[in-house]
Amino acid sequence: MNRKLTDKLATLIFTLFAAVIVLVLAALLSYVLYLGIQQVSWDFLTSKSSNFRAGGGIQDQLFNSFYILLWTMIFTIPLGLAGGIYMAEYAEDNKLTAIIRVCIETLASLPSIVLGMFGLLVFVNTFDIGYSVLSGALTLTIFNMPIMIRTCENAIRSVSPQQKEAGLALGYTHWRTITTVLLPSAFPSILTGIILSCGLVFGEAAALLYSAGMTTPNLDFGNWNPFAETSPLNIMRPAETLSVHVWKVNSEGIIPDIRDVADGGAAVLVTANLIFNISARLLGSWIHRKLTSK
Amino acid sequence: MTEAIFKTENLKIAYGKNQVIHGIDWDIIEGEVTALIGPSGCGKSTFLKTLNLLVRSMSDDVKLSGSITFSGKNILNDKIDAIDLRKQIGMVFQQPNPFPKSIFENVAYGPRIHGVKKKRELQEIVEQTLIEAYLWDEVKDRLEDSALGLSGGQQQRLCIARALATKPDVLLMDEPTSALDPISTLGIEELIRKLEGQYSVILVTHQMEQAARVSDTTAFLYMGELIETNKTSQLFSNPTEKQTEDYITGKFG
Repeated sequence: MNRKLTDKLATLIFTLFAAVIVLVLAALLSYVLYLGIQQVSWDFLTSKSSNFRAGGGIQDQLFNSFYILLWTMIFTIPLGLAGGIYMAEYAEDNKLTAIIRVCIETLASLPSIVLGMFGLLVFVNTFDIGYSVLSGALTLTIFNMPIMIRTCENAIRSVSPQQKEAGLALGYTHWRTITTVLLPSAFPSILTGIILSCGLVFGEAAALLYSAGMTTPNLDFGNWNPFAETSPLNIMRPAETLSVHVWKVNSEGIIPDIRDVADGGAAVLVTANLIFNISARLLGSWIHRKLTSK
Repeated sequence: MTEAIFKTENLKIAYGKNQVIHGIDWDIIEGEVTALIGPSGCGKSTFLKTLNLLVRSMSDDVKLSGSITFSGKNILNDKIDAIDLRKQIGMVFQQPNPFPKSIFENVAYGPRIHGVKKKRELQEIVEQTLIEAYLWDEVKDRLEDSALGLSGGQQQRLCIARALATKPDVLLMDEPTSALDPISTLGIEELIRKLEGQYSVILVTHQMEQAARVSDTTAFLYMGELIETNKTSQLFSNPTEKQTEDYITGKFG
């Protein structure tokens, strides 16, 4: 075979692979959205779910998903930043660092149901927090932290060493060089990473089954006292999230409109994920443009 | 005899087991432009980054021995605060490396960190320094624009301004024109000539012509050894060492 032909063939094969990936994604998305969008209405999004009757909504579950996401990020972002800064700037190239790296990678690849069991044993039972927003958020923090550490480390490492040299040569301390030179330059990638992992956390179900629980008390959206039993803000209450709800309705629901609720819920989940991903890209490139020229 | 701004005695530098500089004794004269030439990998940049102890901050396994005397103190002594030292020794790098911030912020950064707080005072310093770096006229109407929107040559002059803003005694320049086009290079060289006298400039370059054009004294470094230092005109017209002659006549390097 001559070289030109080989080259063309290679191009063709890789284009085909790319096309297959795009097609699979497009088919999946359009199938989920096609089935689900018919179920999604303002009423579906803003009414409570029902255990027996048809026509239930996903209001509480949707709120729980965002609320647990919020707490997870409150815990994960500082931890991930601290870990990322340590790994990128302070960790020396030795055995200890290698061990830490293996730990982070192992943690990142643990099946999420295992993390859910860990959450059940440690947060729910040992610390006696019970099925709650807090247990769920802490479990998801463990789920998300390795990704966040890696995102922050890579973002900081990708800032050119010349930037760091410039800071140090001006007489900045190492710490001030990190906070005033490295972190601002790494900020767009860190932000993109955070939003992308929001998508992951938002859609996670297995880790929450036995930590945030599969029920929600009868939430009163007029009560914003975070210590009240039925307040949406209470972090000690159980909180079934949207993806857990989709799983539960599908596997053990006894409502007559199982398919409709599951389809609608799935469509909302997928849409939220799309919004996270697209906004991460747009925001990242917008900030990049803003920083590099005007 | 003129004063030495840096005086190195038996200075040795190694990365781990890799000895880069093999004992240099050298008096670098104050207020002059001193050029350090030599083939790639001869240790020029390492030597330069040792003068402000930047090698220590950028590498974990660098070993320094001997002594470097700067304003009466041996800076290799552990009690020397690298932060204070770098306030007196500015540095400009191969690649223009402005921070991704506004032009104003780039210049104001150094003074701000060293305690200048008042907006007016900062504005004055920024204007003065940009004038000194011959950049003021080009940027005075867009100080709030991102520094990354400037051309390569302008960026490098901004980096020089940034280094000058902390009012250093010395300016270290590590191949400052290697990433620039010929016109911008001439601009930077002209600027270096104008800085002479007010600052001691130590310029690392792999372009011999550049050393010949801008420096008062030239030193030839080869394989971690200081082969020869002399008045620039002397060194290029009448080198005393065979290796120097071979290098400047293009026989190797």
